[in-house]
Amino acid sequence: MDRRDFLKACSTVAIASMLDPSVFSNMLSAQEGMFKAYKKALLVKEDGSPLREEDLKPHNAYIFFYPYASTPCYLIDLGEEVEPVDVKLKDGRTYRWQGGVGSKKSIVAYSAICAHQWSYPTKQYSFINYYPPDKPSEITKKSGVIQCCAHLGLYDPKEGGKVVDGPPEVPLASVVIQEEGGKFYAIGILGVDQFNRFFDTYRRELREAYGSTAKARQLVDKCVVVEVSKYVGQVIHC
Amino acid sequence: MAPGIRYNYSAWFRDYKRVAEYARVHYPLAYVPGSEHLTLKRKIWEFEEGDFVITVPPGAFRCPPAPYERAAMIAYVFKKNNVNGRVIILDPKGDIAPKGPGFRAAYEQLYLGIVEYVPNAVIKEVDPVNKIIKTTAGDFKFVDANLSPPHQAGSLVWMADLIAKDKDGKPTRWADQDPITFQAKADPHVFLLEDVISGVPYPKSGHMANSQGKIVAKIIASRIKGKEYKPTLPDNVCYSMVNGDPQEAIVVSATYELKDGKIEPRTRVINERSKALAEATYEWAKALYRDMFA
Repeated sequence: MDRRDFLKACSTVAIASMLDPSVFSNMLSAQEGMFKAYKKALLVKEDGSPLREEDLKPHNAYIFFYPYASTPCYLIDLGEEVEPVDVKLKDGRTYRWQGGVGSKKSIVAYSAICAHQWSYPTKQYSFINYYPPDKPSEITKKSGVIQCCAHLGLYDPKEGGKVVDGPPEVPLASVVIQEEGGKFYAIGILGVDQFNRFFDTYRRELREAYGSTAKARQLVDKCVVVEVSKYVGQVIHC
Repeated sequence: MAPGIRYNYSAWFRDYKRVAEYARVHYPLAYVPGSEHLTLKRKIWEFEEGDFVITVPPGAFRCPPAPYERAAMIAYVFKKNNVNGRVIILDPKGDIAPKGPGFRAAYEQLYLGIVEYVPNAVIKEVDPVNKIIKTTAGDFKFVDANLSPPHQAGSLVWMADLIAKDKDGKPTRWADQDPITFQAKADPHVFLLEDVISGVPYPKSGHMANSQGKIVAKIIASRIKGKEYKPTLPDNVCYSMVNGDPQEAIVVSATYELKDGKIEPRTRVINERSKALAEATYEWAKALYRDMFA
């Protein structure tokens, strides 16, 4: 490609992106198949109104379900700008994580299904949790991480869910969030998700919770965001 | 090859197989799954009064915290059922390990007068018929017991002649394998895992077995594909229940790194028992079952 063609391509992309935000999805999907677009889902509060940045307390974890009705995700305002980073997998593949969103670029979202052996937050317990800076883990002494108490897998929410310690083989899948006019939309999943194993492993539990696995697998276009401490009966810290 | 352990009754009874069989049947170890665990459970719940002895195997053995966790849980049952009994732990070591402070706190705070810990009790003689154990810390009579002779690698490793030899050429109790790749030193096409291995600072635990199994699977898959694979080191997490009501547990975890050719452990522990850790205990186990059986 020569310089003229390159400039033409750049301006084409720039114009296209102004007309249709999903062009970024296409760019993301060009990341070696690491991005999967799902239904665009508006993040809302319990009263149904769109979630706004000021509704999120920094370092307080929130839970929402995306892209399926049963697949939990965490939404966290990390309180400081979080820059995009390259996330490298053990098999050599790399993808570019977008960093934080919001006016301070501090809001991140990740799948809350542990990438090791699929612990996830239920209404009874959550073993995989965010540890804010003022409440480090008693056993690992780490804070500012997402840690799973089952086998002490640690993920860094400032680095695209990268594995910091413990047995997980892949980072936490991240939820790609787009901000439009102060509203937040989940548009897809970036990284290696655990959805297939989640649905295979928890058939019985999902049937009990949702009536059928088909209902558990329904794709959503709206996500109610709730504080984890209000959703989960007992948040287990270790 | 991961055949687990076998029990070395000859360390106590030499060639007296009938006595060894008597001990095995009447006072099963319950370290190998099957009827032994059911027998032990029945014994505990039917115990009426007297001393219940637990012997801690010498050297390396499967599940290092097991004797101490069992003592706590048996004491809980005695307390719950108002049994006029004691649990006596005969330990050849000088102190409880791992999670020593956590177990001791439970014995002192929850089971005072029920659990008696006897350190430096190296077994000299076991008489399962007359129910006496003679040790370097004294003689102990018992009403019932969980008698555990030394553990050693499972029979398959012995049959395959993959047991390590000591400096005098005599067989040790465990296999001889590469500490990083787990390949048998006598045959690189054979991989030896978990309870059977030696020469590494890894506890013999289920979590470890799961972790090592995945590393070896990747090594084998890479070899099949003709690719090189740089093995990682396994990790371990171990929860131990110390109270039955409310359920409370303690935990230890270890990761490992290679420093100057030596595998160094980095251990972290919570000795303060809690309900949260008890819940985490179940999730820890369930997650492993999901991984293995899903």
